[in-house]
Amino acid sequence: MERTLAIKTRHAAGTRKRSKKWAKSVPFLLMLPALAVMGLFALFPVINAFRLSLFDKQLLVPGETFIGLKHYSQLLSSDEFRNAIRVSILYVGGSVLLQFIVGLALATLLSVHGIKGKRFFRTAFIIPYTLSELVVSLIWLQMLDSEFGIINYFVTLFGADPQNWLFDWALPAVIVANVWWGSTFSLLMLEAAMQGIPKELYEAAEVDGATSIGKFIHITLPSIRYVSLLNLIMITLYTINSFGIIFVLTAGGPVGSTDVIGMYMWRDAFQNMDLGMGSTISTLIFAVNIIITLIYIRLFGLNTLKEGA
Amino acid sequence: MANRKKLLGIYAVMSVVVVAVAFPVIWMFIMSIKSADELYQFPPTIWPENLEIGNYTKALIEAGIDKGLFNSLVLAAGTVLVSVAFSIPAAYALAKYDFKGKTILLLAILATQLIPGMAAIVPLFDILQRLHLVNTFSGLVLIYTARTLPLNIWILKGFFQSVPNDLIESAMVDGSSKLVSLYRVALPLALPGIGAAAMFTFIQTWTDFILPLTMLFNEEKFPFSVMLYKFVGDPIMGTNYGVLFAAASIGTIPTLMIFILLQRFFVQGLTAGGVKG
Repeated sequence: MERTLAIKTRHAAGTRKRSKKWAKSVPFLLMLPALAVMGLFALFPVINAFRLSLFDKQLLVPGETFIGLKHYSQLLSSDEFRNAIRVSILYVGGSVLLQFIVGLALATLLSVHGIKGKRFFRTAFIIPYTLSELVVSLIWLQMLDSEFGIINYFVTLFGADPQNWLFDWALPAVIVANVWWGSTFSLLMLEAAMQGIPKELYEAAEVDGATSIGKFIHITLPSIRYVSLLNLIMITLYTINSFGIIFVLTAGGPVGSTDVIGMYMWRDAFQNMDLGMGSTISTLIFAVNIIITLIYIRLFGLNTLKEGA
Repeated sequence: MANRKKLLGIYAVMSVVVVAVAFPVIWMFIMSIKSADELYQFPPTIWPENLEIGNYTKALIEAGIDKGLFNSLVLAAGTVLVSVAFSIPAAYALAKYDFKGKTILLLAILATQLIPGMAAIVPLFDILQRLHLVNTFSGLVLIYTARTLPLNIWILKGFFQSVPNDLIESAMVDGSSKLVSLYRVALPLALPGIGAAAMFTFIQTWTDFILPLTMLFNEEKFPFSVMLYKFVGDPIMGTNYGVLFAAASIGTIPTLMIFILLQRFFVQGLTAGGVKG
C-alpha cells in the first residue's frame, strides 16, 4: 500500500477545526464529477432496468403499466429465450477460451528473451484492435461470402468443397471473427503483465536447469494470475454484452443458430418496440454478469483481486 | 547453437502469425482498390488487375463519408475531454488521500467496468429519453464517459501513485497547497498515463457502433460507423463493396495511426495502471 500524505493543518487553533473538516471533504469533491456520471450512466441503468422490467412499456410511447413479474414468466417459458441462452453459452465459451489462449500464446511469443523487432511484431498483432466492430464485421462478411469470398478460394486450394459459411457454419464463423478481433486485447494485457515479472526469477530457474515449459508453468503463469483473472472477466463480460459482429454477419440467423442473448434483447426492445421486455432481458444479463464475476473470483481467490486494489 | 535455432523457430512462427492476423486488414485494403466487376469474380484476384482508385473519391465525395468522420471526431474528442478531465481529480484523490471506504470504492469503480454498457442499452435509452438527450451528441458523450471512466481512473491512479510523496511534500513546503502540487508536480509526471487514458477512450469511442445506431435517428448526426452501416445495401447505390471498403479503410486510419505511433503509452498505461502484474 502506498504511503499517504499526512495532512497537517498548521493554522491557529481557532481555524483548525473548520479547515480540518474542509480538508476531509477534498477527496470527495475531487471524485464528485466522475462518481456522478458513473452513478447516473452506469449504476442507475441497472436499477432502472429492473424497475422497467416490472412494467408494460412500449418504446417511444408515453405511459407504463405495472405488471409485476409477468415478463419474467413469459421469458422463462419461451423456447426462443432458451435457445438464446444455449447459443450464448456456446458463443461466449468458445470465444473466451480461444481468445485467452491465442492472446496468451502471442504474449508468450513476444516475451521470449532476446527477440528483435518486438515493436514491429506487437504492432502487427495489435492491428485488429484498432478496427471498429463494424469494419471487422464487414471484412469477414465479404471474406466468408459463399460465392465470391476469399475463404472459399483458400478452401478449394486444399481440395475441399466451397461452403456456405454464414449458413451452415454460422456459429463457428462468428466465433472466428470475434476471436480474430478480440485476441489482441488479451495479448496487450497479458504481455504488459509478463513485462512486470522480475528477470531474476527466470535466471534463478535457469541455474536450477529449468526447461522453457517448466519456467512458463512455474514462473510465468503464477505471476500473471491477477491480470489473467481480470482479463478473463473482462473478455467474458464483453462477449456476453456485445453483439455487433453477429448483428452484421447473421443478425441471429439462420433459424436462431447465432441468436445470442444481446441480439435477442436488442430485437425485442428496438424492433418489437417492447422496452419492458428488453429491460427484463437486460436485468437477467446483469444478474448473469455478477454471477460469472463471482465464479471467477472464487476460482482465483479474492486475494488476487484485492492485490490489485 | 541451440539458442539461435530456437530464436529462428520463433521468428518463423511469428511471421506466420503476423500474416494470418494482418491478412484480413490487407484484404480490406486490396478490396478497396478493386473495381465492382472484379469484386464479384471467383476465384478472386489476389492483386487487382484494374486499379480502381476512384472508390476513394466516391466514398469521400459522393457518399459523404467526410461528414460521418467529422461526427465521429466530435464524439470521440468530446468524450476524451470529459472523461480525462473527470478521471484526473478522481484518480488523484484515490492515489494520494486516505479516507474511509476507499478500498470498497475502488472495487466498486472496478465493478462498473465489469458491467459493460451494452446490456444497459435499453435502460440507458429510457434515461436519455427522460433527460431529453436521445438523438444528441451530449447524451452519447455522457454514456461513453461513464464507460471509459473506470479504466481511466485505474490507469491514472497507478501513475499518481508512482509520483513520490516527497516531491509533493516538498512542493507543499514551498507554500503550495496539495491541489496546486497536483497541478504542478503530479500532472506533468503522469502525462504518459493521461496519454494512455486519452488513447483508450478515443479508440473505444471511435470504434463503437451499436450504441450510436440505437441512440441517434438523425442522419446528419451519424458517426462514421453508423453511416458505413447504412451504406450496406443502400437502396439507391446498392452495396458497392469497393466504395464500402474504401470508406472503411479511411475510417481506420485515425485509430491505426494512434496505435502505431503511440503504442508504447498503451503498454506503459496498462503496466502502471490497475492491471500491474
